[in-house]
Amino acid sequence: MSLNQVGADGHTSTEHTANSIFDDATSGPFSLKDLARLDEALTMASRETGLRFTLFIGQLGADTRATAEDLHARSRGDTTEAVLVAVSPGQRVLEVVTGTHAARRLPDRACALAVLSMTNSLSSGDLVGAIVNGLRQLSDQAGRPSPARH
Amino acid sequence: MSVAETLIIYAGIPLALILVVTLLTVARSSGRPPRYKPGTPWEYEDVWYEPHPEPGAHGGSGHAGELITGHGDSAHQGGTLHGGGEHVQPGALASALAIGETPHGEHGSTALSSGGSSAPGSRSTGGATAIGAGGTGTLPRRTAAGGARGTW
Repeated sequence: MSLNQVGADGHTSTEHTANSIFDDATSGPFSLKDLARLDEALTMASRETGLRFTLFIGQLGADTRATAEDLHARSRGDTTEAVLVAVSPGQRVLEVVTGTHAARRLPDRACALAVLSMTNSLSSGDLVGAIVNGLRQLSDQAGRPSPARH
Repeated sequence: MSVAETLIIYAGIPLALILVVTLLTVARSSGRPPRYKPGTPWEYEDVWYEPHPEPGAHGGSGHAGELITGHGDSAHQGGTLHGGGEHVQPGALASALAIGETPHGEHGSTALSSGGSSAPGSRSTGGATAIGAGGTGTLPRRTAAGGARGTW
């Protein structure tokens, strides 16, 4: 299992020297199985649509929308094709941010629908399931990239 | 039926069953992180997951298991071990630091505030240096065009 993780940690707790995958997995909020599911969901959503889905889990600050948009602006790669799913479980807030190209294929209504189903699962405590299903729904809505662009 | 038999049947067996179920519950939950419950504080570090690069688009699949941490320290996540902060890119780290986290050491923080005045990334804190080089201290252009918000 390999999940590309851009860590935002400023803490020393990850300064481990053991380099064990189990250390990494158990120190975070997800088990190895959960990480594998998230990994597959992110990668498949991105491959199927040609968009770039990234997933942020953490605090979003006081202005969650502004923080999420800021994160989106700073994500690497082509930000116009980027879709950021930002979850703040502590604040119980979920933000989906789409770039300019991505927004054409994922209109706000489609995002709102995915967010609605995600918050439904989240309210029952199924964090990973919500994210996986939400990503699937977003990628289904976006569809495959048009051949004209390739 | 004697008193001892009665006690064993009506007290001993239920107690043994309760013990077995308790042991199973404890053993199952101790091996994995606790399940998220809405309303409880989230005390984990902020993480940002991104998809694997397209096959062939990023110079091979060898970088797929990459885990980039905020201090440019290469961690291990799935079989491949990478050295140093060589794969750390400015955008990722800048975004990691944009959410209010402080980088490790004063080296990183000076790079962030002064916008690239520190030395080029030749040490393991090269990731922090890249923030100054890439972020340049200015706010990025707004890229968001839409989306949705939800609470639960």
